[in-house]
Amino acid sequence: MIEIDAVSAGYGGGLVLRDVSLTIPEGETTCIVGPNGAGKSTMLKVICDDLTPSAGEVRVAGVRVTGRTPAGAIDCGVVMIPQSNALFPEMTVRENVLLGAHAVKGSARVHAARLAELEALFPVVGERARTHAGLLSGGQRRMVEFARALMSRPRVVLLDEPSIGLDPKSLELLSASIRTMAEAGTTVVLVEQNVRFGLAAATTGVIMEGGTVFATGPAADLLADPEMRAVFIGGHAVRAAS
Amino acid sequence: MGLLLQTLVFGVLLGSLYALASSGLSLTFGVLRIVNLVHGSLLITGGYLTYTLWSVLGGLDPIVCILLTTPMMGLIGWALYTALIRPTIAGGDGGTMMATFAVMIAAEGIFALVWGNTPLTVAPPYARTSIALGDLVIPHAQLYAAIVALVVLGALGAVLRFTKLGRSIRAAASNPAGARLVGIRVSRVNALTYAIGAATAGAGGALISVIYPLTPDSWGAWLARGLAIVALGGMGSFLGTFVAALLFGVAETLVTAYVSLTWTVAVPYVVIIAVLIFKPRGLFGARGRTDVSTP
Repeated sequence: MIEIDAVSAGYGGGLVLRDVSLTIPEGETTCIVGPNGAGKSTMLKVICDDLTPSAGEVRVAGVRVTGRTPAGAIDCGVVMIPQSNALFPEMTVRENVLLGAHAVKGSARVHAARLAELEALFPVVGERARTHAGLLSGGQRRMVEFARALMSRPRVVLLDEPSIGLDPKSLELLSASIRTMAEAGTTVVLVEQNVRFGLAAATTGVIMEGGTVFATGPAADLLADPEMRAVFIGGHAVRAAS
Repeated sequence: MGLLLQTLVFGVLLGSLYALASSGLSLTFGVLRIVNLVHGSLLITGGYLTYTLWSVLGGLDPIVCILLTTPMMGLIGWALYTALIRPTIAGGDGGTMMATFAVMIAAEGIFALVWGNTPLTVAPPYARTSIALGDLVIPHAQLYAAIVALVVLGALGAVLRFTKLGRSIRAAASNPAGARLVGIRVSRVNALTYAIGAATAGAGGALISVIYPLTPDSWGAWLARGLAIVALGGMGSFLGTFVAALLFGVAETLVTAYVSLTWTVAVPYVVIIAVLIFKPRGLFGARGRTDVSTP
């Protein structure tokens, strides 16, 4: 379970998240949606402590993650796949994936065994092992990012706009990969502009607006809600009880 | 034909030394994205330290001195990073450039105060001897310098390629934000990289001290060579720096042999200007797909 407790955070003195409290269930896929500037990506950065909040804290399975830096967050089982430029383009696919285990203890043999498991899960990792990551297509890069994130056997995977720039076939692969992670018991938190895709892939939905949580509920219900549809086709949300 | 072969061999030997002398500059640019103007001074510091060790320790071989100058320069590099680079790097290129420029100027004064203005050279027994292979003459000093340079560069390359530290350095060079997210402590990697860059100057300086006279202002020629080599190889590319250094060594010796020694001094500046105009990314600049918008 991820507990976000009265978190305020922002950049250069300005607040993006304002006193946000939210509980994200363990072992499920949660999708955070909302208009631009709602604070969705900032929320993910705060969870993995890539951005330390000015107030409040984040706990994962009861352990405080806030103030530990991303390396400390990985120790707590939290990994983040950012919206763009996650890979190291001049390094090979295999090197990129192995770097996913950088912050965790384990022998080379253990890491090699995990790599073999991930090659079975994401075939592109094995097929393009010696290719520089910068030469992959957008969809292939996403699969390599997923494999790298899973190298450390994380408890929580944070995905920032994973569907951006992907063609329909790659979207299917992405959706299947999210399902695979969830079936393995991993808590997945994704932020999506593609609301239909994001909520369809999730069990729980969170709607954010103006740096606060506007509504939470089962993803299927939110997707079917006419008011939610209005919000995401350009209307403005009217605060209502969630 | 004999002169050409001799010139090419000389060029390759010198180029190997240049590769070692430039590797630290390439490394710091590749990882920290700073033009480390103090690198020439670090090389000369390594040379002067070698001279002192050689003088004080009864003619200790300068190649053996490398075992001492390398860690000493690594420590100096760590101190410089902590005191100078880390506080200024967040302010962008300007702050670091001005800070390293200031140290570079101050270092010249310190060199003059400590070691004087008279040119100094380390002269081990093999400094004036050579091997003759038919018409070809290979000075021992250049040959040994090239061999040691290749060994040090090979070791550095192996560290970068095969070790966890090396992968961290390459990851931080490639994508600092991404490196942070996989748990690499980028500020620590930056400090280590700067220290390693300075340590290579310790090894390079020791070899330089046998072949070139040390004067307080000789940092300028080494900085110019280093910048030209790093620009030609592709900023931050380790392999590029090596290939460019060999080409550069050959270019310098060809100019010396067939044009004039006077014009050799101009080679770095001509190379820098030509690269910036005709091939700004250098020979081994970053590759990547441009048809894919990064997801």
